[in-house]
Amino acid sequence: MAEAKTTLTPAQKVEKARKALEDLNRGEVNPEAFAEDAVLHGVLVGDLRGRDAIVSALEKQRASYDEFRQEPHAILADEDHTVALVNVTMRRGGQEIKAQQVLVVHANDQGQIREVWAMFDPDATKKLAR
Amino acid sequence: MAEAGVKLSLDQKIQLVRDAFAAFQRGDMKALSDAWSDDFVWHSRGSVFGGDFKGKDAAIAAIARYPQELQDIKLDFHDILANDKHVVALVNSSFKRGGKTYQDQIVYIFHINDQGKTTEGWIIADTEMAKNAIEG
Repeated sequence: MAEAKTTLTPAQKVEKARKALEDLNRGEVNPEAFAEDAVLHGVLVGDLRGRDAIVSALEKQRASYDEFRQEPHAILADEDHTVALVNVTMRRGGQEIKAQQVLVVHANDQGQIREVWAMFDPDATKKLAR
Repeated sequence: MAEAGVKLSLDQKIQLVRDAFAAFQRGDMKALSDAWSDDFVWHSRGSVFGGDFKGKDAAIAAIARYPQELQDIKLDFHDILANDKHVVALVNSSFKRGGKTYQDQIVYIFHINDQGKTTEGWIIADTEMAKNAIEG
Protein backbone atom coordinates (compact mmCIF):
# COMPACT_ATOMS: atom_id res chain seq x y z
CA MET A 1 0.00 0.00 0.00
CA ALA A 2 1.63 3.24 -1.13
CA GLU A 3 1.80 6.36 1.02
CA ALA A 4 -1.05 8.82 0.60
CA LYS A 5 -1.20 11.84 2.85
CA THR A 6 -4.03 14.32 2.22
CA THR A 7 -5.08 17.70 3.52
CA LEU A 8 -8.45 16.40 4.73
CA THR A 9 -8.92 15.88 8.44
CA PRO A 10 -9.56 12.34 9.65
CA ALA A 11 -13.09 13.37 10.64
CA GLN A 12 -13.74 14.64 7.11
CA LYS A 13 -12.46 11.38 5.66
CA VAL A 14 -14.71 9.38 7.97
CA GLU A 15 -17.71 11.44 6.93
CA LYS A 16 -16.94 11.03 3.23
CA ALA A 17 -16.63 7.29 3.62
CA ARG A 18 -19.90 7.11 5.51
CA LYS A 19 -21.63 9.15 2.81
CA ALA A 20 -20.20 6.96 0.03
CA LEU A 21 -21.54 3.82 1.73
CA GLU A 22 -24.94 5.46 2.24
CA ASP A 23 -25.03 6.31 -1.47
CA LEU A 24 -24.11 2.75 -2.38
CA ASN A 25 -26.85 1.36 -0.16
CA ARG A 26 -29.34 3.54 -2.02
CA GLY A 27 -28.10 1.98 -5.23
CA GLU A 28 -26.21 5.09 -6.26
CA VAL A 29 -22.60 4.75 -7.35
CA ASN A 30 -21.33 8.32 -7.27
CA PRO A 31 -18.59 8.68 -9.90
CA GLU A 32 -17.30 11.81 -8.17
CA ALA A 33 -16.36 9.70 -5.16
CA PHE A 34 -13.47 8.36 -7.24
CA ALA A 35 -10.49 10.12 -8.77
CA GLU A 36 -10.24 9.71 -12.53
CA ASP A 37 -7.18 7.49 -12.13
CA ALA A 38 -8.55 5.57 -9.14
CA VAL A 39 -7.56 1.95 -8.63
CA LEU A 40 -9.69 -0.67 -6.89
CA HIS A 41 -8.10 -3.88 -5.63
CA GLY A 42 -10.86 -6.38 -4.96
CA VAL A 43 -10.68 -10.06 -4.14
CA LEU A 44 -13.68 -10.73 -6.35
CA VAL A 45 -13.04 -8.32 -9.23
CA GLY A 46 -9.25 -8.16 -9.33
CA ASP A 47 -7.57 -4.82 -10.03
CA LEU A 48 -9.76 -2.22 -11.70
CA ARG A 49 -8.11 0.92 -13.02
CA GLY A 50 -9.88 4.17 -13.75
CA ARG A 51 -13.10 5.75 -12.51
CA ASP A 52 -15.24 4.45 -15.38
CA ALA A 53 -14.12 0.85 -14.93
CA ILE A 54 -14.72 0.97 -11.19
CA VAL A 55 -18.14 2.60 -11.40
CA SER A 56 -19.22 0.16 -14.10
CA ALA A 57 -18.05 -2.84 -12.06
CA LEU A 58 -19.77 -1.63 -8.90
CA GLU A 59 -23.02 -1.02 -10.76
CA LYS A 60 -22.88 -4.49 -12.34
CA GLN A 61 -22.05 -6.08 -9.00
CA ARG A 62 -25.01 -4.46 -7.30
CA ALA A 63 -27.35 -5.25 -10.19
CA SER A 64 -26.45 -8.94 -9.91
CA TYR A 65 -27.84 -9.18 -6.37
CA ASP A 66 -31.37 -8.79 -5.09
CA GLU A 67 -29.84 -7.00 -2.12
CA PHE A 68 -26.30 -5.79 -1.50
CA ARG A 69 -25.99 -3.77 1.69
CA GLN A 70 -22.79 -2.47 3.29
CA GLU A 71 -23.38 -1.32 6.86
CA PRO A 72 -20.37 0.37 8.45
CA HIS A 73 -19.46 -1.19 11.81
CA ALA A 74 -16.70 1.38 12.31
CA ILE A 75 -14.80 3.86 10.18
CA LEU A 76 -11.32 4.96 11.23
CA ALA A 77 -9.03 7.48 9.58
CA ASP A 78 -5.64 9.06 10.03
CA GLU A 79 -3.55 11.25 7.77
CA ASP A 80 -2.75 8.36 5.43
CA HIS A 81 -5.73 6.03 5.35
CA THR A 82 -9.42 5.58 5.85
CA VAL A 83 -10.44 2.11 6.99
CA ALA A 84 -14.06 0.98 7.03
CA LEU A 85 -15.08 -2.18 8.86
CA VAL A 86 -18.24 -3.19 7.09
CA ASN A 87 -20.90 -5.81 7.66
CA VAL A 88 -22.15 -6.88 4.24
CA THR A 89 -25.42 -8.60 3.43
CA MET A 90 -25.84 -10.06 -0.04
CA ARG A 91 -29.01 -11.79 -1.19
CA ARG A 92 -29.56 -13.51 -4.50
CA GLY A 93 -31.86 -16.29 -5.59
CA GLY A 94 -33.08 -16.97 -2.09
CA GLN A 95 -29.54 -17.31 -0.75
CA GLU A 96 -28.25 -14.81 1.80
CA ILE A 97 -24.59 -14.34 2.59
CA LYS A 98 -23.37 -12.21 5.47
CA ALA A 99 -19.73 -11.25 5.48
CA GLN A 100 -17.27 -8.93 7.12
CA GLN A 101 -15.47 -6.62 4.73
CA VAL A 102 -12.57 -4.25 5.26
CA LEU A 103 -12.14 -1.28 2.94
CA VAL A 104 -8.76 0.46 3.02
CA VAL A 105 -8.77 3.78 1.20
CA HIS A 106 -6.20 6.29 0.04
CA ALA A 107 -7.87 9.62 -0.77
CA ASN A 108 -6.61 12.62 -2.70
CA ASP A 109 -6.74 16.21 -1.49
CA GLN A 110 -10.28 16.55 -2.81
CA GLY A 111 -11.37 13.60 -0.72
CA GLN A 112 -11.84 11.38 -3.75
CA ILE A 113 -10.82 7.74 -3.56
CA ARG A 114 -7.46 7.34 -5.25
CA GLU A 115 -6.90 3.71 -4.31
CA VAL A 116 -9.03 1.25 -2.41
CA TRP A 117 -8.51 -2.31 -1.24
CA ALA A 118 -11.73 -4.27 -0.71
CA MET A 119 -11.00 -7.29 1.46
CA PHE A 120 -13.54 -9.92 2.47
CA ASP A 121 -13.08 -12.62 5.01
CA PRO A 122 -11.88 -15.62 2.97
CA ASP A 123 -14.80 -17.88 3.81
CA ALA A 124 -17.26 -15.35 2.41
CA THR A 125 -15.10 -14.88 -0.66
CA LYS A 126 -15.36 -18.58 -1.40
CA LYS A 127 -19.14 -18.50 -1.11
CA LEU A 128 -19.36 -15.44 -3.33
CA ALA A 129 -17.10 -16.92 -5.98
CA ARG A 130 -19.36 -19.96 -6.43
CA MET B 1 -17.94 -7.65 15.69
CA ALA B 2 -19.20 -7.01 19.22
CA GLU B 3 -19.03 -3.62 20.90
CA ALA B 4 -16.15 -2.93 23.29
CA GLY B 5 -15.66 0.67 24.48
CA VAL B 6 -12.37 1.56 26.18
CA LYS B 7 -10.81 4.44 28.13
CA LEU B 8 -7.18 4.21 27.08
CA SER B 9 -5.76 6.90 24.84
CA LEU B 10 -5.48 6.03 21.19
CA ASP B 11 -1.70 6.16 21.40
CA GLN B 12 -1.73 3.76 24.35
CA LYS B 13 -3.87 1.29 22.45
CA ILE B 14 -1.65 1.51 19.40
CA GLN B 15 1.40 0.89 21.56
CA LEU B 16 -0.23 -2.19 23.10
CA VAL B 17 -0.70 -3.61 19.62
CA ARG B 18 2.86 -2.78 18.61
CA ASP B 19 4.13 -4.49 21.77
CA ALA B 20 2.04 -7.61 21.09
CA PHE B 21 3.38 -7.88 17.54
CA ALA B 22 6.92 -7.46 18.83
CA ALA B 23 6.31 -10.30 21.30
CA PHE B 24 5.06 -12.55 18.50
CA GLN B 25 7.99 -11.72 16.28
CA ARG B 26 10.53 -12.62 18.97
CA GLY B 27 8.60 -15.82 19.72
CA ASP B 28 7.55 -14.71 23.20
CA MET B 29 4.14 -16.32 23.36
CA LYS B 30 3.83 -15.64 27.11
CA ALA B 31 4.20 -11.90 26.59
CA LEU B 32 1.73 -12.13 23.72
CA SER B 33 -0.90 -13.92 25.79
CA ASP B 34 -0.26 -11.61 28.77
CA ALA B 35 -1.56 -8.82 26.54
CA TRP B 36 -4.91 -10.60 26.27
CA SER B 37 -7.90 -10.87 28.58
CA ASP B 38 -8.67 -14.36 29.92
CA ASP B 39 -11.66 -14.61 27.59
CA PHE B 40 -9.73 -13.45 24.52
CA VAL B 41 -11.11 -14.69 21.19
CA TRP B 42 -9.05 -14.98 18.02
CA HIS B 43 -10.96 -15.04 14.73
CA SER B 44 -9.00 -16.36 11.81
CA ARG B 45 -11.04 -17.13 8.72
CA GLY B 46 -9.93 -19.32 5.87
CA SER B 47 -8.71 -22.72 4.97
CA VAL B 48 -5.52 -23.45 6.90
CA PHE B 49 -5.47 -21.34 10.04
CA GLY B 50 -9.20 -20.68 10.19
CA GLY B 51 -11.52 -20.81 13.17
CA ASP B 52 -12.80 -18.96 16.21
CA PHE B 53 -10.44 -19.72 19.07
CA LYS B 54 -11.86 -18.89 22.50
CA GLY B 55 -9.62 -18.46 25.52
CA LYS B 56 -5.90 -17.83 25.80
CA ASP B 57 -4.84 -21.46 25.43
CA ALA B 58 -6.82 -22.04 22.26
CA ALA B 59 -5.72 -18.73 20.77
CA ILE B 60 -2.04 -19.30 21.53
CA ALA B 61 -2.21 -22.80 20.08
CA ALA B 62 -3.75 -21.38 16.89
CA ILE B 63 -1.28 -18.54 16.56
CA ALA B 64 1.70 -20.76 17.36
CA ARG B 65 0.91 -22.72 14.20
CA TYR B 66 2.06 -19.83 12.02
CA PRO B 67 5.77 -20.09 12.91
CA GLN B 68 5.45 -23.89 12.97
CA GLU B 69 4.17 -23.99 9.39
CA LEU B 70 5.83 -20.93 7.88
CA GLN B 71 9.41 -19.71 8.04
CA ASP B 72 10.95 -16.27 8.39
CA ILE B 73 7.67 -14.51 9.03
CA LYS B 74 8.00 -10.74 8.72
CA LEU B 75 5.23 -8.39 9.78
CA ASP B 76 5.91 -4.75 8.94
CA PHE B 77 3.42 -2.12 9.99
CA HIS B 78 2.22 -0.02 7.10
CA ASP B 79 -0.09 1.94 9.40
CA ILE B 80 -2.01 1.54 12.66
CA LEU B 81 -5.27 3.37 13.24
CA ALA B 82 -7.38 3.54 16.38
CA ASN B 83 -10.67 4.91 17.59
CA ASP B 84 -12.58 4.45 20.84
CA LYS B 85 -13.50 0.84 20.07
CA HIS B 86 -10.99 -0.55 17.61
CA VAL B 87 -7.36 -0.74 16.67
CA VAL B 88 -6.69 -1.62 13.04
CA ALA B 89 -3.21 -2.59 11.87
CA LEU B 90 -2.36 -2.60 8.17
CA VAL B 91 0.56 -4.96 7.81
CA ASN B 92 2.81 -5.91 4.93
CA SER B 93 3.79 -9.50 5.58
CA SER B 94 6.13 -12.01 4.07
CA PHE B 95 7.04 -15.57 4.88
CA LYS B 96 9.02 -18.42 3.40
CA ARG B 97 7.94 -21.95 2.76
CA GLY B 98 9.73 -24.57 0.71
CA GLY B 99 12.36 -22.12 -0.46
CA LYS B 100 9.80 -19.68 -1.85
CA THR B 101 8.95 -16.27 -0.44
CA TYR B 102 5.33 -15.17 -0.24
CA GLN B 103 4.05 -11.65 0.34
CA ASP B 104 0.65 -10.50 1.50
CA GLN B 105 -1.19 -7.47 2.82
CA ILE B 106 -2.97 -8.24 6.07
CA VAL B 107 -5.50 -6.33 8.15
CA TYR B 108 -5.66 -7.04 11.89
CA ILE B 109 -8.55 -5.71 13.97
CA PHE B 110 -8.52 -5.64 17.77
CA HIS B 111 -10.81 -4.74 20.65
CA ILE B 112 -9.00 -3.58 23.81
CA ASN B 113 -10.75 -3.31 27.20
CA ASP B 114 -10.49 -0.73 29.99
CA GLN B 115 -7.69 -2.71 31.63
CA GLY B 116 -5.55 -2.48 28.51
CA LYS B 117 -6.11 -6.12 27.62
CA THR B 118 -6.98 -7.22 24.12
CA THR B 119 -10.31 -9.05 24.21
CA GLU B 120 -10.80 -10.00 20.59
CA GLY B 121 -8.79 -10.07 17.39
CA TRP B 122 -9.51 -10.69 13.72
CA ILE B 123 -7.13 -11.31 10.86
CA ILE B 124 -8.11 -10.66 7.24
CA ALA B 125 -5.51 -12.18 4.94
CA ASP B 126 -5.04 -14.13 1.74
CA THR B 127 -5.39 -17.51 3.36
CA GLU B 128 -5.52 -19.30 0.01
CA MET B 129 -1.96 -18.18 -0.61
CA ALA B 130 -0.91 -19.63 2.74
CA LYS B 131 -2.79 -22.83 1.94
CA ASN B 132 -1.04 -23.14 -1.41
CA ALA B 133 2.32 -22.50 0.24
CA ILE B 134 1.74 -25.25 2.78
CA GLU B 135 0.06 -27.80 0.57
CA GLY B 136 2.25 -27.09 -2.45
